[in-house]
Amino acid sequence: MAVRKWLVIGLALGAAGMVILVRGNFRGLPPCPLHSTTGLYCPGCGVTRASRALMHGDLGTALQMNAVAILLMPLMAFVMIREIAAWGWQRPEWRPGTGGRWGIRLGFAVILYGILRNLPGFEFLRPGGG
Amino acid sequence: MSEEWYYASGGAQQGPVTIDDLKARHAAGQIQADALIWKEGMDNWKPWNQVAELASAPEIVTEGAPVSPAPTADPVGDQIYAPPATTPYAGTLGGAGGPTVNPPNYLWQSIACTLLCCLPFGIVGIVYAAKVDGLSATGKAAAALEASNKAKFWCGLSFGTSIVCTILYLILMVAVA
Repeated sequence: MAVRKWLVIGLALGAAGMVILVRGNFRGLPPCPLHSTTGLYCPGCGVTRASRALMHGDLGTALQMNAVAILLMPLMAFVMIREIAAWGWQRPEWRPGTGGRWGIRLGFAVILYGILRNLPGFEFLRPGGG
Repeated sequence: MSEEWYYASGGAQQGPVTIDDLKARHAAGQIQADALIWKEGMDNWKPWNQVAELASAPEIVTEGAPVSPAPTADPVGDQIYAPPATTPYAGTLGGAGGPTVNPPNYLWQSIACTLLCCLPFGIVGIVYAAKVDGLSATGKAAAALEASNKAKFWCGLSFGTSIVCTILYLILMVAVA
């Protein structure tokens, strides 16, 4: 089944990426093209560094890099695993709910976080605390 | 003759099958009298006993030729009964035909893209995703589908661009090293 093949390929790539991120000996992690060209901090800024810190067991650094992404990680993992399983096994009833009103609020909270990170006085929201 | 019928079984859409197959399955007890049935041209799924073409059909014709065997016992039949190219899952994603289903809002995907793909496109996805359910609830199906498609587009753009950037970066790293 073609879907299952892509599922395996995707999981293999994800696992490889995780190994590279944890075991790789970088002089620095890949720079974000958006940040290096515009200087802006998007809502996802710091996620790679946060993930790396988390996989090394350093929750404190992870939270400093991108607290919102780390706090949302369990929820994101929950909905994404359901979505992927629904697709991989062709079971639409496994798909996550729409999120309702709170889902929408969460979405806008993430956007707001992205805006605040760029404003003076909110430097503490930037990766590493500004 | 070539009408394609679908029925719901175990929470999943089955078909297409011909009306004769449908009746055979009903006779074999695989489709209950209250199972939902749909074919092209019907505006929504209907229970078996409310579909004009089926409700009048005799339950099982015992006299004469034996009832056609159950599809599971027939290897050739299995191929005929193979699922269609469009899976039920794809059908729920605003696919062609079928009864109307509220379009998915892509909210989770947009949030994940915004956080993980580090590109502002995910934000546009969230804005469109936030509109979908409200539009569906107020009956604006076309506008809801449009918002859903836009959320999907921006989500995909965010995901695709970040994949391309990552690959370009890896190539650059290898080239420099």
